[in-house]
Amino acid sequence: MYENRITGLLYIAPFLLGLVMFTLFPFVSSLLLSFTDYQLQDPVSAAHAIGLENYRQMVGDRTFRHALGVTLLYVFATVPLKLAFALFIAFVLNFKLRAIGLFRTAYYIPSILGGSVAIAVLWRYVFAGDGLINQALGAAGISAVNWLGDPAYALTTIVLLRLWQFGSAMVVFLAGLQTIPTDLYEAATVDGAGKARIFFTITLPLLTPVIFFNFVMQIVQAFQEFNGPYIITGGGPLKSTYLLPLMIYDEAFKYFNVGYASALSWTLFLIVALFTALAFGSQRYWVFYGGERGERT
Amino acid sequence: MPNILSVLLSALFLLLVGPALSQTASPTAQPPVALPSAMDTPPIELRMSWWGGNDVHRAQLKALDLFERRHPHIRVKAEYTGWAGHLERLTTQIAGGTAPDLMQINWNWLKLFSRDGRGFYDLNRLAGTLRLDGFDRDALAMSTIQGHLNGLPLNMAARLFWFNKTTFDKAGLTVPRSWDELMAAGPRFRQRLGPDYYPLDVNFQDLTAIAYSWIVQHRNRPFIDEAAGRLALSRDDMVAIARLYTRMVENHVIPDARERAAYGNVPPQEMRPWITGRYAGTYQWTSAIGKYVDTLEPGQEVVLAPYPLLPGAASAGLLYKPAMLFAINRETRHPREAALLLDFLMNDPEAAHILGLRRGVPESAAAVAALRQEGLLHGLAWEGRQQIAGLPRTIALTGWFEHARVRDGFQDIFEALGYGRIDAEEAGKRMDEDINAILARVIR
Repeated sequence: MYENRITGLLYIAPFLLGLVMFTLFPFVSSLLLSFTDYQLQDPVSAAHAIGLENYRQMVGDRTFRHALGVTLLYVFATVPLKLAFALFIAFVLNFKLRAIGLFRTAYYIPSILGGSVAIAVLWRYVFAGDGLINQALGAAGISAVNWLGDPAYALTTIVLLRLWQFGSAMVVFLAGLQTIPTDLYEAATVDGAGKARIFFTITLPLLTPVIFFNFVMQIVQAFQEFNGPYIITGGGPLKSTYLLPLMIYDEAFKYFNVGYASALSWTLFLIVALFTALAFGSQRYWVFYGGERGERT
Repeated sequence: MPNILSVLLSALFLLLVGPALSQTASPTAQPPVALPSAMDTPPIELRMSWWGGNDVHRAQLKALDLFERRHPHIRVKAEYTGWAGHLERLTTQIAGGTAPDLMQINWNWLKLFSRDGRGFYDLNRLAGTLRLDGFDRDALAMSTIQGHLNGLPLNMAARLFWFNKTTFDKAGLTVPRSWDELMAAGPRFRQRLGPDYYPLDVNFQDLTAIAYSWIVQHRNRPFIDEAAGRLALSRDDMVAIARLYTRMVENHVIPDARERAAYGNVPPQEMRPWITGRYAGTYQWTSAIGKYVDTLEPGQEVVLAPYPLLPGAASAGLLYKPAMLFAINRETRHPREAALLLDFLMNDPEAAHILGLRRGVPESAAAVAALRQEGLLHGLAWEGRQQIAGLPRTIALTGWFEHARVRDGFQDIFEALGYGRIDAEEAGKRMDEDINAILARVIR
C-alpha cells in the first residue's frame, strides 16, 4: 500500500513540480509583489511594502481605465460572436455530407494555427493598408478600409482574428450536437415542427450545458488576449487595441514596474473570476441538465 | 542494516558536499589572474548575447568561431535575437540571475540596470586583459557611471538624415540640405510624383528625435535639465515642436498618422512604401542604416544628406551616444575570459575584418586601423561618422530622453495630435505637464 502511494506520487511528481514552480509560486509571489513597489531591475530585497497603494493608484490611472474599457469591449464583442459562429459551423458540419471528416478537419485547422505569432504577423499583412483584404475590396469596386490605422476598425481586426480560431469551440459543440437523441427530432418532425422550431426548442436547450462550458472558456481566454494586439497593432492606434494584458506587459517589462503590474494582474484575475462566478450563478436560469434548469441529474 | 545505511548516507554526503568544500577552499590556493591552459582544465563556457539582423548574426558567429580556435579552453555559447523583445528578455535574465557573461546592451539601459554603476562588471578592473587605450575618451566617459566603466561602446552613433536618391531624382530634386529645403520637398513630391510619395518617413519616436534636434538648434540649450528632473524648455517651446509636426504633415513632408498606422505594428524598413521608394527618407542611427538599405528593392540608392543646421546654432542637437555597448555580467564566474572575448571582438584586426561595418564604424582605434588598412572604411556608416565629427556637439544628450516612459509620453501626445484629437496648443501644454511629471517620476 505504502509502495503504491510512493509510486503514485513519483508518477505525478513532474506535474506537481510544474504546478508549484510555474503556477503556484508565480501566483503567490505576484500577489505579494502587488503590495510592494518592486522594480524589475532591483533585487527583490530592495522592494518596500506599500500596502494598497498600487491598487489606489489604479483608481486614478487614466490608462488603466481606458485599457479596462477596451478589454471589456473586446470580450463582449468576441465571446458571443465566436460562440454563435462556432455553433453555426458545428451545426452545418453535423449534417451527413460527403467527405464530412475532411471538412471538419479543415475547419479545425485555424484553431491550431490561430494563436501563433506567425498567424498574427500574417493577419497584420492581410489587413494592412495595401493588404489582401483591401486589394479584394478594390477589385470588387469597394473603397479601401483603414483596418489597422483607424481607431474605429483596429479592434475589429483583432476580434476577427479571435473569431477565426473558432475550431476548439466548434468541436465541443459538434460533440454536444451528436449526443442529442435523434428520436426527439423524429418525433418533432412527425408532429409537424419546422426546422427553426426544432432548433430553438430541441437543439438549443439540450445544448445549453455545452454552450455554458464554451462560454466560460471563451471568457477566460478573451480576457487574456495578448498576441494579436501586441503583434498586429502594438495596442494602437490611439490605444484603441490596448487590452489589459498589454498594459500589464508594458508596466512589467517596459517600465520595470513589477509591483504595479502585479496589482494589475490580480485585478484582471478578479475581474475574470467575477465574470466566471456570474456565469455560474446565471446557469440556473438558462442551462438545462437532463431536463432540469441548472441542476445536474 | 542501520550500519549499511549510515555508510551509504556518509558516502552520499561526501559526494554532494565534498566538491563544494573543495571549491570554496580553492580560490586562496590558486594564483589570482592566471588563465588556465587547454591542457589542464576542461573548457570554460561563456555565454554571450546580442541582437541584430541575420547579417550581423552570421558575422558574429564567424568571429566567435575564430576566437574559439585561438582559445581552445574557452567555448562561447551564442544567444542572439532580433531587436524586438531583446530588452524584455535581458531584463528577465538579469532579474533572474541568469544573464549571460557578456551581453550587448543599449546605452540608455545603463539608467535602468546600473544607476549606481554597480549593475555591470567594472571594466576598469579588467584593464590588464582589456585594451581601453584605443577608445575615445568621451565614449568611455558616457559609458562610465560613478567611476565604474559599465560597458565598452561598439561605436558612437547619431541619428542623421538619409534619403532615397533614386526617388529624389525622379522628383527632380537634390536631397535637402536645410530645414527649409526639407519643408519645400513635400509639395514638390506631391506635385511631381503623386500623393503617395513623401520625402521623409518617421514614426513617432523618430519624430521626437527630429523635434529634439530642431528645438535644440533653435534655443541653443539642452532639452532636459537632469539636475532639476524636468524639461529645460518652456511650454512655448513644446508648442513649437507640436507645430513643427503639423507643418510637416500639412506640407506633405511626412505621411500622416492614419496612413502610417495602416501598416500596423511593423518596423519602418519593412513597410512597403519604404521598400519601393515611395517613402524616400528616414532619420536613422548611423548604426542602423544598413538594415534600411538591405530591404530596398534593387536599383535604388540611399545617400546621406547634409545635416540641416540653422544659422547660429551652437549645437546640431544630435542624439549622439554610444550606439551599443558590450557589458560583462557583474556576477560572471569568468571575468578574465569574458574580457578576453570582449577585447578580441573590439580590438582584434581579424575580428574587425569579419565584423566589418555591420554595426557601424567600430569605436576601437585598433579596429578602425585594421579596416582602413584593408580599404574597408567606406559606405554610409563611415560617411555618417565623418559627418558627425564635423558637426557642433556642444549640448550632450542625457539618457533620460530615451527612457521608455518619456518616449511613450511623447508618442501618445504626438499621436493624439496626428489624429486630430488635440491641437498644437493643447499638445504643447500636455508635453509640458505630462513629460515633466514623467521626468520627475523617473529621475529619482
